[in-house]
Amino acid sequence: MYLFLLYKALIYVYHFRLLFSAKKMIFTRPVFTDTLQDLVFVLNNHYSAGLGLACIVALSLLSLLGLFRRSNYLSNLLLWLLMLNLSGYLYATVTAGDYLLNQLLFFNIFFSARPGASPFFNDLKTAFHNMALAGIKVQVCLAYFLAGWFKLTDAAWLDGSAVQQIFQIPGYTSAILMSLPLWLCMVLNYATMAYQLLFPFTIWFRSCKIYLLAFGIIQHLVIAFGMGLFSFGIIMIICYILFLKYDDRSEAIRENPRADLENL
Amino acid sequence: MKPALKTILAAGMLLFLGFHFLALLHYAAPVSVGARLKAASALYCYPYFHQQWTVFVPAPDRQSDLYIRNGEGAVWQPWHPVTQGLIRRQRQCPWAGREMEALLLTNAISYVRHDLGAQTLIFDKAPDLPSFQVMERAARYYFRNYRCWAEGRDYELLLVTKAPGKTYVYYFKNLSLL
Repeated sequence: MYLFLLYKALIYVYHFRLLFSAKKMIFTRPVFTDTLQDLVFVLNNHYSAGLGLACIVALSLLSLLGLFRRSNYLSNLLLWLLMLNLSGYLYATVTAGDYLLNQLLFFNIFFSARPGASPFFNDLKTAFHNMALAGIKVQVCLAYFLAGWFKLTDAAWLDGSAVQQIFQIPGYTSAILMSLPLWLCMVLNYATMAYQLLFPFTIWFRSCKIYLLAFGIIQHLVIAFGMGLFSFGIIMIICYILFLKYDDRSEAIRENPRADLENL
Repeated sequence: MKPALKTILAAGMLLFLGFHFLALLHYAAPVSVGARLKAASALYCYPYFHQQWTVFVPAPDRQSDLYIRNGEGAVWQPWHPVTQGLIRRQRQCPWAGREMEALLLTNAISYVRHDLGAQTLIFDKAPDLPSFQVMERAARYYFRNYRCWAEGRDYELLLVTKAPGKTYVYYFKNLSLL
C-alpha cells in the first residue's frame, strides 16, 4: 500500500501542471462549512501550487516512513488526512478505488504499534491492531456487497447485457474486449454479479478463498489494463494482498500474540 | 490488562465497528430505511468515510464525444475530438496516471448531460453551471497543451451524445479565454 502511495506521489509530480499549476485542468471551488469537515478541504479551499507541492512532498515522506516501518499513530493519521485532502481537491478524477484507499488508510492508523515496556499499553495496541484488521476485512466485503447490490437494481445487469454494453464504450474498452462474443460477455456479467454478492459470505472459508482471490485478481487486472482504470484495479488488488497477508498473520497471532507486535 | 477491562475494551471496539459499518451501509446502499436515518448516516460518513459503489450502474448505454474548435470571425479551424484524444493518450501508457485526464473529462460530461437533460440545445453563451465550468476547463486545458492553441482566440464546444436510437447535441458558442 505504501508503495502504491509513493507511485501516486510520483504521478502527481509528473502531472503537476495538469493538477496543481495556475493553468490546471482541475476546476475547484472553495467548500467552507465552518465545521470539522473543513479539515478535509484545506487543499481545496486554500489552493496554491506551493501547497500542492507541499502535499506531494508530505505524501512521499509519510509513505516512506510506512514503507520502512517507521510510521506511528500520528504519521498514519496525517497520511489519512492528507489523502482525504487530495481526494477532495481532485474529486473529479478519483474512482471508488481511491475512496476505498482512504478507508484502508483510516484503519491503518491503528496498525502502527511497536511493542513498548508496559504490558498494559501492549495489550491496548494489540486490541487496536485486531480491530483494524477486522475493519479492513469488513470494509472490503462491504464494498463488494454494495457493488453487487447496486447491480441487482439495474435492468442491463439483470438481463446480462451490461458487460457487453460497457465494452462498447471507447473509454472503458480495448480492441480485444470490444471483440468478445456476446455469450462470453453474458458469462462475465453474471460471474461478476455472483462474485460480488457471494464474496462477503464465502471469503471466510479457506477452501473458497484461493479461487475467489484468483478470480478477483484476474478481473482487476483486466480492469486495470484492458479497461484503462489502472488505479482502481491496482487498489483492489492491494485489498486482496492485505486480506491474504493479514489472514496468515492472524493465524500467527493466535499462536503467539506478542510475536505479531514485534514484527510490525 | 485485567480480563474485565479487556472485555469492556473489546465490547467498545465491537460497538464502534458495528456503528461504523451500519452507518456506511445505510449511507452507500441503494435503498434507505428513512430520510432522517439517511441524513444522520451522511452526517457521520461525509466527507471522512465517503464512498460510492455504483460501479457501472447504470451500465453506460450512451457514448459522448466532446469536440472543440477555435477561430475568429468567419475563419474556424476543423472540429477536434477531445474525448478520443484523451482516451488515446491514456491507452498509450495506462500506468502513467493519464486516466485522471480521461476520468475528469468523462465525469464532467456526465454531469453536464445530467444538468442539461436529454435534448438538443444551442447556447449563445456559456451556461452558468458548475458542471459546464469543469468540462470547459478540461477541454481548454487539453487544447492548449496538446494542440498548441494560440491564446486570446474564440472557441466553441460541441458535445454529441449517442444513445440507442437517439442522438443529442449540445452546442456551446461564443466562448472566449478573454
